[in-house]
This record gives sequence, C-alpha cells and structure tokens, in this order.
Amino acid sequence: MFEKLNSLLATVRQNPLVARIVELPFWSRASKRLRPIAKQFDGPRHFRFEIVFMRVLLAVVVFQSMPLGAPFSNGSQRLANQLAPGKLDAILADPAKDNALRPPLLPISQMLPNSGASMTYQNQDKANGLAHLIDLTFFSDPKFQKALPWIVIPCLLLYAAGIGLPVVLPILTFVSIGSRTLYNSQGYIHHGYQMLSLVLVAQTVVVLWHCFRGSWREAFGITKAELVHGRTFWDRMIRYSQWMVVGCYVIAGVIKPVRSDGEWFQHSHYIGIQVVKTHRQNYYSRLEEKWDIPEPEVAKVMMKDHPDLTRIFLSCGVMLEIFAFLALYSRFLSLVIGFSLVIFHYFNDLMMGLYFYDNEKLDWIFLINLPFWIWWLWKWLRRTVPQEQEVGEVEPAAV
Amino acid sequence: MDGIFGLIAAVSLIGWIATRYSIWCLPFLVSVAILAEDDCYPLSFFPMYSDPDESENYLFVATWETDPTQYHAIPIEEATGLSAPKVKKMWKSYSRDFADDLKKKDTELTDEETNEISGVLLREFRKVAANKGKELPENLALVEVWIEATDIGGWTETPEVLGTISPSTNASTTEAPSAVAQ
Repeated sequence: MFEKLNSLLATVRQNPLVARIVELPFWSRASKRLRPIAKQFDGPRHFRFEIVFMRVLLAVVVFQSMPLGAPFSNGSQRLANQLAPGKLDAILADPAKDNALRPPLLPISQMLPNSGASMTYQNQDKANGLAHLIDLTFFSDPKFQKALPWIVIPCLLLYAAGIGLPVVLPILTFVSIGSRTLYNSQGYIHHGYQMLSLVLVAQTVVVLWHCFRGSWREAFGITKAELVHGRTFWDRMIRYSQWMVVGCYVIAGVIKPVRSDGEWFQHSHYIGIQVVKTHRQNYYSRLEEKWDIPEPEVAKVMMKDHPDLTRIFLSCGVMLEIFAFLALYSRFLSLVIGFSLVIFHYFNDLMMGLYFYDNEKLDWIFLINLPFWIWWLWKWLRRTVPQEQEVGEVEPAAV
Repeated sequence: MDGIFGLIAAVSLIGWIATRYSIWCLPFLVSVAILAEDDCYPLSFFPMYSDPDESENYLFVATWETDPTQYHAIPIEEATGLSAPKVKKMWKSYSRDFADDLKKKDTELTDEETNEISGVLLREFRKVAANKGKELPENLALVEVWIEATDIGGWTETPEVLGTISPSTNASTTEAPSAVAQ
C-alpha cells in the first residue's frame, strides 16, 4: 500500500504544475532551510546502555499500570514487611515521608513495583473506542484475571531483555488499551494512561514495521540492529515513543485556545474556580478533613489577590505544553523541557491536587534520560581532570 | 474547526509518507486526537481546564432521613470506588446519552428528566457498591453545586438537589434553600 502511495506521490511530483511550484525559488529556499531542522528532529543515535535502561524502566511502568490485582498490587509491601516489618507501611501512611523525595522525584508509593488493581467492571454500557467492537468485560472475569499475570509478566521480562518484541509488544499494547478502555467505558474518562498506551502503540508499530519491511531477525532480537540511514530501529522506537510523550502535551496545550475561542489566556484566572471545585470534589469523595477548606488559599490568590500574575503564570504553563515538541530538537533541550514538565506536574499537584504520575514517569524515562547525563557527566569530569603523564611518555611536540 | 484539523491530519500524513521525517507524526497525532475527542482511547483531546469560565459545577452523593433538603454528604468513594470527579463525569455522560435519545441538548433537559437520570445514576452507584460487598444508605440524593465568580474576586456556591431515591418513592426533585457566599 505504501509503495503504491509513494508511486502516486512521485506521479504528482512529475505533474508540470506541481513541478513548477516545487521549483519556485521561495519553495526551494524554504525546503533547503527546513530539511536539516526536520532531520535534527529525527533524533540522535542512542547508546546501548540507554536503550536497555529505557526498556527496563518502561517495563516497570507498564507493570505498574497492568490490572493484575493481588498479590502483585501489594507485592512490595508484603516483601518489605518480611524484611523490615512495618517500616514501609509507616512511610506510606505519612504523606510527608511518602513525598520526601518530591520534588523532583515521585512519591515513594508511586515508585514501588506494584501492579494496578484488578478490574471489577461487569458491563461497558458507555462504550469507548475498542469497546464498540469487542466486549472487554473479560478483563473482569476471575478466570482471566488468574491467567493475566502469566501472560503479562513473561512478556515484560522478554520486553526488558529486547527479545521477541513483534509478539510481546502487541500483547502488552492490547492488554493496556483493552483494560483501560473498559475502565473508560463506565461513563467517566480517566486521563492518566493515554500517554503510556500511546507509547506502547508507537513501539508496536515501529517494531512490526521493521519486522515486515526491515529485518525480522533484528526485530526479534536474534541479530544486532544495523544502521539504516544513520539510525537503528531502536533509535526509531525511542524517537516515536518520545513523539507520543510530547504529543500528549501539545494536544493539551493546543486544545485550550481552540476550545475557549482564544479566550483561555484572558480567562485563565478563573482556574481559581476550578481549584475550588477540585477541593470540593476531593472532600466529597471521602469526606477527608484535610480538604474541608472553606476558602482555598490558591483560589483566593488567583481570583482576588493576583489575577494578572496568575494569567502570566498559567500562560507560561500552556506555552510549555504547546512548545513541548522542541524537547526533541536536541538532548539538552530534552533535559531542560523534560525537567520543566516534571516541575509543571508538581505545581499542578500542589495547587489543584491533580497528579499524572505515569506521565511524569515517562518524562523521566524518555525526555530527561538520566543514565545518559550521568554517563556524559562522568566523561566530562574525566576530560577536565588532567591525567598524570606516565614515566617515559613523551609529548609529540617535544620530539 | 474539524475541517481544519482534518486537513492538517491529511497533509501531515502525506508529508510523513513522502519525506519519512518523524516530525510529521506530531501534527498528525495532535489533529487526529482533537478530532477523536474523548471517544477513542488511547486518543484524547485532554479537555481538562481547557475552557475556564466564571462558573463551574461539581456533584456529590448525599443521604437524607425525612426531608431531602436536609441532606448530608456520604463518602461515596469508600463504598463504590467512584470519586466525586467520576460522579460528575458519569452524570455528564448519562445526561448526554439521555438527551441524545430525546434528540435535544443536555442543557434543555426538564426537571423531571434530570430527576429520572439521577435515579438511574444513584441506582447504578448502589449496584457498584454491592459488587464491592458494600451497602449504601436507603435514601440517596444527588446534589449539584454551582460555583460562580463574583465581581469582587470571590465566589458563591449554590447547591441544588438533582434527584433522590428511597425505598418507597422512586424520585423527587427539590431545590436547596440557600446559597453560600464566600
């Protein structure tokens, strides 16, 4: 199909009118300038250690999102209680201790390798996406739930090892999309897992594409990945995963001026009303006293004390979302924007009690990419510290 | 607007195939997600806080003894696992579907229709709680509160009972008496 499309595009290019437009000086100048930029956005070559770290960390995040239920959903606490009874429970019970590393890291409870709770939905009356085509309630079937860990955990181990991806990734993607679609088919939409599922979709497409149009041996991890146009299929897999991550932010940023007919920036101080709403909703969910605040301070600052400063501050957040794609221009920008997005999430959590921990985890893995920067720093330090000259070694200039 | 995003999606797809530069997938993903809105997981247009307004509402579930206007809230998440934001999302989804069936907008629903949807939703909560081995009180009310910004930078909160269920009567709609000024 793509060959047909390519030949169709070639025919269109040969059309005299199209050819004349393409040969226009403006067009050729623009394409000459834009091509290197577009190429730059195709991403760098990655070191093997980076690819391995990303695979292992993503496998952990996917595991955390899978609806495996007990004993996997509380495995860490069970293990910790055997090693040091009560210690981990005490940390998790105290919000201050749980958030001791935040910011910039996530709450400790979010970094534990626990899976998600199992599904309990017996119907999908408000079908969403895939649920229009398939009855996904089998995710709530106890027999299937018993079998699910035996499917998911071996797949995750193989994924982390980089073996059998053309089989393993479609399975993980289906479980991720299927279970979360069932969750979203109950009449309410949760926005916490879209980014993760999209990353899995992107990786599945890249690996299947490489399997059918490149080398299936490389895709299955049997042979070493070769360079094609300066990049391996691992580089492409990472790049498209990164596009999904920044894409979600760009969508969230673009939709704001679109849905508000451009009035978002002027009306943004009314987010204070949303802050009140979030406080009330948090209170009425469990009637917790900590949320029973008649006049939330943040809402007061936004609406009454500093509405103009609030507009500037919140507009900066939206600009960060809209221009998040610049993170993929270079590794340095990726680090800076990735870190800014983590701080952005922290402020959302702090001001409105809104958290997107899985998105934060993906920022750490695919944008900040700490293993690379630790390696870079180590190399840089080695270069700046002068090496002692060994006895008998002569500088070439001295000869 | 849909036409513009459709065009962007088509152009970026052609550009992607023709040039193979990965950057084309960004406008493609963004426009397809905006077109798909929230109906096609994993695509979403992430509408949270996208249209800040001087008014906003939230819902909660309450119980009552003899008079539905004398209600008190219940911790609905403890019994059902459904938080207050989910209660609101369910309300919006149920009333939209109900209005679609009547071929009208959800803002045009009458008090009786609102009452009927509330009854369906409250019974659904009871069912969800039962699935978790929990029990909700016999008399339930669905309460909506409108928060509205005032000219002096504050806000008011006005509660209204959307509908109730009880063992004897099926439902009744009642206005809460007062608005709470902040």
